[in-house]
Amino acid sequence: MRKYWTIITTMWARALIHRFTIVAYRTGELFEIVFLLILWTALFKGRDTISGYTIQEMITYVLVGNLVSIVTRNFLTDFMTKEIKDGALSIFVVKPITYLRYVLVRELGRVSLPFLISLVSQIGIMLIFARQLVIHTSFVHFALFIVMVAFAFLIEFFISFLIGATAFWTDETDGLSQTIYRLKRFLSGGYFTLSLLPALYIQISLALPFAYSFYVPTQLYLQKLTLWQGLKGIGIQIIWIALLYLCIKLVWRRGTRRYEGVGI
Amino acid sequence: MRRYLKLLKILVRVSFIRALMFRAAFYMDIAYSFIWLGLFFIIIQILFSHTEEIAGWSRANLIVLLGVWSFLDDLGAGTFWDGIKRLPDLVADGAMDFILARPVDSQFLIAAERFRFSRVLVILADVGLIAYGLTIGEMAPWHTIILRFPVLVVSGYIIALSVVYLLHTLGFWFLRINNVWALYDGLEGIAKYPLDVFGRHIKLLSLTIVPLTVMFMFPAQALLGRITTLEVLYAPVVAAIFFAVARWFYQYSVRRYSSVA
Amino acid sequence: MPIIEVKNLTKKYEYYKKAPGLLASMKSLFHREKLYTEAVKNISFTVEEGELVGFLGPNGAGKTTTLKMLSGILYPTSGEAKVLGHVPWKREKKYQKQFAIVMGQKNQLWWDLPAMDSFILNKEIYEVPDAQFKKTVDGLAELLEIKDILDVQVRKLSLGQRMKCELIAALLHQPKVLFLDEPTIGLDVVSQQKMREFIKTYNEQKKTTILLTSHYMEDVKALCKRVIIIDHGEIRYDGALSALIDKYVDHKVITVTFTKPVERVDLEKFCPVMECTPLRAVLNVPNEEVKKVAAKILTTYPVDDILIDEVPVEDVIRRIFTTGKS
Repeated sequence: MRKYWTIITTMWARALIHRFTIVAYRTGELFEIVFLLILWTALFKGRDTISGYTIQEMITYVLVGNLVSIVTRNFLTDFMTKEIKDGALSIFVVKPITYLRYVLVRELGRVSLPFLISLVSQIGIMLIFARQLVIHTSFVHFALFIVMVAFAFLIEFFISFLIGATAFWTDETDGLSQTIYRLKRFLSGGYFTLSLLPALYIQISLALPFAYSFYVPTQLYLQKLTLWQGLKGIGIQIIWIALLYLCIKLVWRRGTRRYEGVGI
Repeated sequence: MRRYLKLLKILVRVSFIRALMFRAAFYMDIAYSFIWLGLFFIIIQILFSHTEEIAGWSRANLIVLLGVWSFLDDLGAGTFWDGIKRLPDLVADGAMDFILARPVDSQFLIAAERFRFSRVLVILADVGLIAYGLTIGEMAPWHTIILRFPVLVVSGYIIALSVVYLLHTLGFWFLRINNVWALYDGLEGIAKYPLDVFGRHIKLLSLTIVPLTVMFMFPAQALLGRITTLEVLYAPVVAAIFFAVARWFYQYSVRRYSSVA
Repeated sequence: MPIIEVKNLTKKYEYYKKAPGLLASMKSLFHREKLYTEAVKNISFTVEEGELVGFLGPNGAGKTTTLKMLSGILYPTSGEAKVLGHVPWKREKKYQKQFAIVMGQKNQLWWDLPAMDSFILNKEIYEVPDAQFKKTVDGLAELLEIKDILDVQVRKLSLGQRMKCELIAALLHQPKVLFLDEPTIGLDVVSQQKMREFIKTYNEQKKTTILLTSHYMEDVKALCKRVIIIDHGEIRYDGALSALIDKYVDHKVITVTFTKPVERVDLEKFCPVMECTPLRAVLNVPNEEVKKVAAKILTTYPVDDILIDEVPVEDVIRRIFTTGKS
């Protein structure tokens, strides 16, 4: 009887708060985007280009990049760490692929309200700045762009999975998760275009998987990368996907063994 | 009262023992904090390689702002954050009942139980950052800083405490509303930037309902010599109001919890 | 003056009816049907100083709710109660310093620290003087035989040891009233017994008024002279345990073993048969007829052995629970 009340409020509250959380982060993100746009507009006063970007290209960079980031992100880590702590993982312990697939399908099928809010608000901002946006219509570039974004989604997914798996060993997953998120944002060019960095750092960033969730696809869209460079980028993505996959298998085996043994 | 100071001493000691037990988490926490601080510092450097100022704030100014923001954030995280975060679970697990049955103020007990010692070291880094920013840029005269800065920092701290408590008191109303901290975290993050950039309306909002300007910008402004006496007097008023509201909401929630639970 | 006075105490919980389905969910945005469940219905009782009273009842009977109201954790919907002259839900500090509540399987101690650290916190919360603290801890630890584990992390202790520590933590401030909610639940048989012995001894020595809830008959049998049976929020019985047995037990149980098989139908002519295998039968016989029936069976059937027993108290209680209004 009282159970009903509890269940109802729990469901509402969880959904509501989960959305509020994401909306809160999205709000923060929107402010950051607006701040960056205002910033760049101010920086461009009296100049035509900065580091080879026109103001339109810079604005496009920020907006398209964020769009990519919205599409490729996931909230898997939270979900996974909870499942591990709650012990809901027991069924999946035997086959790691099964859990991976399960979670992947869940994530893909999740056209959730927060995602839509983020997407719509991003498109909204893009419409506001429509006159400043650079539009390219090269089909080939676009196709590569799509492929890269799809791979980026997978990479982010695997990385979140690995971070989530650390819950097998430690309780303190929040700190790691947040730090990786901020590092990722930084290394992917989320705060500013990587072209502003010295050449060496750009090379390092391109070797890491993060850049492909923001910087690289957007550069491709802006046609600041050649098709060949785009293909090379996709190649590096594939290597990372394979590497991360292997890591997952390894970590999973170790983790579930510990899980069974201790019986969290 | 002296009794609460004694209790505080015990609780701090317990947190310290815990920190020693989980040394890995201790070091990791320090590492993370330094990484974040470093990242934002680099961002500021890079942004300012292309401009002299943003909305009237120079590179040095922004460093001071970052330092102040981080200082307050670490102060909160080092003291009441982890304690209050537990509230929704305490209610859901029934442990709240025991806390309420004790002859101590429950809000105090909940908030003071989890100090994070790792933040203490990071605070030193924050102070260092502030000092650096003040050295390479403007700095207000010492006597104004000594009068104004503490008042504003304490006000900001109290507002943070109140808001965090307000949000987590929802744990009495909704079961396991643990994500609520992210709400605060997301909004707080904006205050790293000078909110002047966002226009009048946002500025107004950030002076009242979501007092981020009061919490973070005012202390920074005090260090830079850019604050009016009115603003210095305004901050404690906001702090008092938020504290009163948070306390009232908590007590109201407890009453309701005891009636309905 | 009674230590605990309860008059017409009632606790109702509200809840909203939720029907499944989309239409119902949408309707529920506008109008929700409020329903009530009465956890405690109009109960009244008093307890004198030094009594050890057992609250017995099935799960969900209202025992824990009653204890929570008496410790001020919950507000009642209606009715009055006074413990040590205070109204519990006013949560006066003066009152809170004079009682303690322990709930079985619920931890008040810090999980990752030695019990002693939790004791020190309680010492400060309840403002127990140093000398008294040391004496109490030493004394209780001795009594409970856990002197050597006070410096071990609580999570490394067994449930029995943990419960003992919980008891010490609760008794540090020498409470005049002790509420124990299912203190033996989940413990192994030996620990249960030790716990009961301790509670009994403590009550005798310190004259602390103890209210104990349990759904284990053993607890009540061992500890309580007086028992309050509560079921579906109502008090079904309040009085001496011995009187309970006298009141509700109107029959005895006769167990007969035969040397040659006997038909159930034949036996049933005499009295209700509880169990019947070819060579053994268990019969319920009203008190007045015991001698007659026993004699009849001995003469009529090839009896190997015959036993006349009291009805187990558990069955008595169960009967009280299962009959609606007694």
